Amino acid sequence: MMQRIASGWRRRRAHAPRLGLANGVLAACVVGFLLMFLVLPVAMVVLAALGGSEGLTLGYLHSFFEQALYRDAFFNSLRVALASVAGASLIAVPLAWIAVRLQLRGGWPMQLLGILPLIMPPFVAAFSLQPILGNGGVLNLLLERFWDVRIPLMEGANGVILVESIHYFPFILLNLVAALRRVDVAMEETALTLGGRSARLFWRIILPLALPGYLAGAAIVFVRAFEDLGTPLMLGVTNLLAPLTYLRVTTNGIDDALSHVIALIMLLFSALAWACIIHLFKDRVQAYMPYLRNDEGPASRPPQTWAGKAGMCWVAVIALLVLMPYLGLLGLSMADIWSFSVLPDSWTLRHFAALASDSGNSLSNTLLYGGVAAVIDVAVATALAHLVVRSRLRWRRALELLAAAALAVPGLVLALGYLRLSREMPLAFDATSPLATGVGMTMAYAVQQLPYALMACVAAMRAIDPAMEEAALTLGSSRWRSLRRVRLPLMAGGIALATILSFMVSASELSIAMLLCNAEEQAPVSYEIYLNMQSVSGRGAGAALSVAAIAALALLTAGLYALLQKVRTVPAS
Amino acid sequence: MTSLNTSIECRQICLRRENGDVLRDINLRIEPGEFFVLLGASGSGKSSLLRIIAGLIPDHGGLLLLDGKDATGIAPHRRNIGMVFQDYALWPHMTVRENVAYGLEERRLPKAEIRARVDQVLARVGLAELGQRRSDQLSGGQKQRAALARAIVIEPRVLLLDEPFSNLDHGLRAQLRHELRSLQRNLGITTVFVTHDQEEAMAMGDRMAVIDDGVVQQLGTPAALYDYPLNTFMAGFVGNTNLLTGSMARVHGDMLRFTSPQFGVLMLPHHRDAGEGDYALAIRPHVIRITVSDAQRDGALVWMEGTVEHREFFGAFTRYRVRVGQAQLMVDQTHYAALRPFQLGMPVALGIMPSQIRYLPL
Repeated sequence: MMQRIASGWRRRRAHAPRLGLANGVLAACVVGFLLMFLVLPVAMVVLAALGGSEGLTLGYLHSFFEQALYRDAFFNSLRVALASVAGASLIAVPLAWIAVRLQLRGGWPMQLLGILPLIMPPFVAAFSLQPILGNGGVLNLLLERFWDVRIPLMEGANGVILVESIHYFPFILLNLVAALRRVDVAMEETALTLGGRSARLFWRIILPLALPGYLAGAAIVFVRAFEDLGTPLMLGVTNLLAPLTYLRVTTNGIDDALSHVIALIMLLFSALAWACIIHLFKDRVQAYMPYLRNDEGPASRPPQTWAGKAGMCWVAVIALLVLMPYLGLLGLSMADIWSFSVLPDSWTLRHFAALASDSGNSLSNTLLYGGVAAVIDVAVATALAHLVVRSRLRWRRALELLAAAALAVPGLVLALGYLRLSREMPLAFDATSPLATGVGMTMAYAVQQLPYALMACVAAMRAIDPAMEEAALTLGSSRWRSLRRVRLPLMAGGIALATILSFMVSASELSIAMLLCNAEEQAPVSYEIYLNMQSVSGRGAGAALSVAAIAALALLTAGLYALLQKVRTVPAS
Repeated sequence: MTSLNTSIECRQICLRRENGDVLRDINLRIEPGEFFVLLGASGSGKSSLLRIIAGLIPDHGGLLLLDGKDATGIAPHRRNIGMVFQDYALWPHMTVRENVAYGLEERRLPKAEIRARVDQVLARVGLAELGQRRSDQLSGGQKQRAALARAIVIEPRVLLLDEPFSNLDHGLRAQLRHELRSLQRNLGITTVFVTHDQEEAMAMGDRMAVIDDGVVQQLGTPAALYDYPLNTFMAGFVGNTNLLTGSMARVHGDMLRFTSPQFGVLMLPHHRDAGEGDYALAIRPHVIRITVSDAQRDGALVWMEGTVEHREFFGAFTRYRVRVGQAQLMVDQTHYAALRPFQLGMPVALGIMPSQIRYLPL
């Protein structure tokens, strides 16, 4: 007996900390998924841009910068993206200050301001703003009538910048508000006792501390504006990188080398922006860690009256700006003709009636692609979150970065990669078959939206004290049952959020659909709206479809949210 | 009831992590029905040892025996061990009742029996009325009781408690300490209690082990650890003590001469623990007698001269800090009404009973 124990003890003593088999399998699956659907397609685009089968060359890259057309497009894209960041900051920074410092009752107007713009895809907003701010829109008609001036708000790049600013400012707002709320009130009070005035306090103390949040939001705005395809196309702006790539691929086919070069440049810039931000973000967060708190943050206190009034005016202006696309869209969907007039000449519901008869297809396509993508995202993100938060896997951090890297890949580049994948591996991926198109779009959505789902799942899992699961283990649950009975219910909120985020972003995505979809019956709703809006006669139908899609999306989200609340309040047995 | 008389034995348990050894060569035996305390500073490895016993850290070295049987490979849910976690780990998505019933449901007991046993244990910990509450509707003490109920309702053969009182205020802590101890006595269950609070450890434990830097520094009853510390760490860690360092020499056959650079020479009678070389003398503050310097001196005591530098009044006693040469000694004087305190700057004499001095080799 003693001998048996002694030998067993030697055996145990020898072994080093090991990685559980289950974690290994899980990691292998996640890595396989990311390699197949993210790394491989992107690598194919990069290879094609650098010469493909004829050996590596920088010739294509060189010829890109040789030609004035492309050089201009590159700088235009950069300008538009930077101007969009500036525009979004102009809207969001004061709003964030107002949200944190003013006593807004309940805070719901601010929450609504943070959500409404995101619900409407930017290309729909571009289209809906035309009758209001466009050349023949309400504003310019009124200005011309009274003062004989016109403001080219929606002309060319201006329009793109305006739309991107309105659509993406919530990313800055939400990040900044979260960061500001964490700034320890004691920090601020210390500064106040040292004699800081409130304006200087904001610039010298609060903003630097909140900078990581701001930068994260600004990076998202930059990348999204840089890669947006639908908005410029909708406004007829083609001297930007994204539309150029799209037009070249659709006219010259997938073998066009230059379009891959443009894609590569877009990829590099996105990646660079993200890398900078991740770097900045990491350093800042570490440096400021002692000053950041995780609770509710400083209590808002009544501001001086003039500041309060100015703040309220700003909220009203932004609210108007945010509501404008919705008003425009509603008007377009119910107008018979709305052109060069302040209000539509006559009203009709025939667009909605037509919708009922023939647009079920694209709605169900979106539901299918986006839904399946969301399910895949939740599964992959939950597995990844487990590996990142709970395992002692050596390269877990690298795995998380790889998954988050999808944020840095423009949808256009990803779609291009999928097209190449289907060409290089026709057996695995026949792009012409309807099934493959659906699968391709679903997987592209899943990869593109994975970072959002991952954020939600990681946050949810970090919030669960490991002792909660250990308690279940000591009480007789196997690991598997403790996962099911303790971790999953506690993560339900995060999982629901991941689902909602993934689905919402997929539903409003356009670049991937435009490249991957080759038959109208497979088109998701975003692509059908786009197709409709390309023609004058389809504008009403497109607007009606947008209204229906947005309403459906809102209902779905509200339903999921309500379900979540119910799950949380009903006792388990 | 399952066997409550379970012994726990650790044989050369060690635990290695990327940044070094967490535990090294832990050997101890916890007797059936014993209330055993693991005392250590945070990061000392005491909680890791507790989690190894619970089976939550499977990749340790060495051998863990429960009731003499090798438990090293056994999953936590097959060990029948109840554990109370530091932050209670009550599940927020379940009520108190559901939390407590969980372990019984996992054991697939009939519904009626589950209900009866949950009722019984909730009454026992004084939560009979609060079964339908959620954990966020409970106070700290109630959470503590609910966590305890959840752990003992399964009638575990071992009860593990990981700093269960660290989030509670002082008064509540004393009360729960008492409740836990009498509950444990009634159940007769082998209990391992982890804490960083030495007062709590001494008050509760039948025996205790002090862990520091992943190693058991000393093992024994609280009184033994207090009275006979093995090394300077132990002397300083358990209770307050004065540590005087210097070198020891034998003179005149049966006398010891202790020379300290701090306060000079001290002549001491022979002691079996003391030899020649570098030593630290550990003297508890309450065994030092303090008198005015010109008072009659008891010849059985070793006397030193000093001046009062500081005074703190604790109610039951007054703590003086007395300057002796370069050293400062803590001296506790029992307080009673009308006792006149020594004034700051006053010359005093300190008398020490030689048998109360501990000789710790350096």
